[in-house]
Amino acid sequence: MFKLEDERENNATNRETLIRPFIRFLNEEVCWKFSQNFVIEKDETIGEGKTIGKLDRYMMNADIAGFLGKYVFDSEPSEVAGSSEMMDEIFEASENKLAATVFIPQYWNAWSSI
Amino acid sequence: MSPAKKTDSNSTPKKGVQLKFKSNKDVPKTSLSPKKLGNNSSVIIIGSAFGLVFARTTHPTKPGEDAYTYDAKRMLIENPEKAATLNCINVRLFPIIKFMLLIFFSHAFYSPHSIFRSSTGGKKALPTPLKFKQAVTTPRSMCLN
Repeated sequence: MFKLEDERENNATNRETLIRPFIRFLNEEVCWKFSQNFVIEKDETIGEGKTIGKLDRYMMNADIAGFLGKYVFDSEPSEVAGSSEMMDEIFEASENKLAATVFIPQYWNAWSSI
Repeated sequence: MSPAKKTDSNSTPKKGVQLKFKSNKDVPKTSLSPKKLGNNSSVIIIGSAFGLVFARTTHPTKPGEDAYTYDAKRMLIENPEKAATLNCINVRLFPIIKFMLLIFFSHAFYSPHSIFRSSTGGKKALPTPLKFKQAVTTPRSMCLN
């Protein structure tokens, strides 16, 4: 998982620029037992130009809470979970929005040691 | 008696004779043969909310499987500075010991040959831990076979 700098827009060009050093790392810095070559194949981002794919499409609940707690919000987890606007930004599935009041505070610090 | 017909080796071949040419596939392979280029492992990028970007890999020859990236993930976990320079915030690494335990338990409980499964296919009751069992008082020599 990678994070774009805050001022950068999450578009295809910036994403590729972000991943290029990682590809270079895989191809040039890792000693593989059997040599392999990594290439960027495609960008599978959905909703390009509109609402981009939300977090619950790709991450587990505990990881969503951990990511939000470490990288996105300085607020208290209960405040984030209580904001319906933010819940719409984070989740696509209504079931996840309902459960968020429980798991967001529970796993808020799950990524603090990573 | 007519003399025997002499065949001229330089004469043009008769019509209808198909000449065979050597094709490339007939050339025997040697250690000097050019090596095939290796297949590429693909990296697929997915963008999500809050500036998050996922990169996943696919195996060059096994469709649906991830590429082998354990060594790279291990390096990134052990070297957070390197991960930070790459803007990598997390790595999904399935620990081998967890994987082995998962395989063991899935086999133990769900396999048709499971030790916890009866011959009829139903689940056997789990064996009672020894400390809850009644002490066996009958001497072994008195047991009937």
